[in-house]
Amino acid sequence: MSEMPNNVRAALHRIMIEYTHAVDTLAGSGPALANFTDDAVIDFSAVGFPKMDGAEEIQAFYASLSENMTHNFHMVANPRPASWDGKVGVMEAYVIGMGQSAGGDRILVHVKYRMEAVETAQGWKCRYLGVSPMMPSAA
Amino acid sequence: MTQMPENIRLQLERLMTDYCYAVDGLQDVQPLLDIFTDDVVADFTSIGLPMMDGKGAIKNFFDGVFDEMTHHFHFISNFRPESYDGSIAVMTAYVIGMGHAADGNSVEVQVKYRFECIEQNGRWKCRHYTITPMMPLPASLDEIHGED
Repeated sequence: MSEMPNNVRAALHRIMIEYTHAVDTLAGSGPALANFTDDAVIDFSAVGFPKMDGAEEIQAFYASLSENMTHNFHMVANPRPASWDGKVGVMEAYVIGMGQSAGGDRILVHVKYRMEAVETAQGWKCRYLGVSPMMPSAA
Repeated sequence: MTQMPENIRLQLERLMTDYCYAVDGLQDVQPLLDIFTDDVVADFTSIGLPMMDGKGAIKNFFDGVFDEMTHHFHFISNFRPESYDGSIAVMTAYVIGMGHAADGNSVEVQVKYRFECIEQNGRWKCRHYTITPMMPLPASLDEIHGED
């Protein structure tokens, strides 16, 4: 692959940080949704959560998450470019994710994010986010 | 010490991150070997694992690790330059390392990596690698990665 420029690398890493911040502050769907293109796909199926196609489904998922969770904590490390073709940047990172629901259930995962992003008039946005497990489920 | 230039600092951070991906791939040992010089020394003795002299010894160790492990997760952070003399660059980082073996055993350690690196043919490579524990080690580490 072409080497991903440092400014693109930084932009993609920052989307991941903004996205996890949005998820962890449980402030409704808006802040999370702001990181994605309107036609974005989020695929959490490998860790037992939905695959979402487009802003409407993504909005519904994060609205529900904010209602049902009392705590979230997603720590991002190991950011590494996977590909860069001059327009589309793909970056991977490791995430330790944990949360607690209003009902008291807890979740802990060790996963890899794969984020595909493009530059839009509103800045860099994610058009695909996939999650794959790296350790067996703690459940 | 001379301050480590920003571009070298970045290269070493990326090399250590690449190492984590290579260890966690659990399929092909070659990307892991590409991290190191041919005459690398890897000293894992402070966590009860072998001292390895040369790429061949590293390959033998990780061939065994890759055979027995089903999952790996090495989460790296706290990159910090330790020294730079104009040709040798040393960086440390904190790692939470986890693994799950085919026999059901699992391990988690909190350690510090130290990479002593030189530039060869335009690429930074590690020529001396040490791991030191930062929290007490679990017994399962020796059961999983020990030599017996």
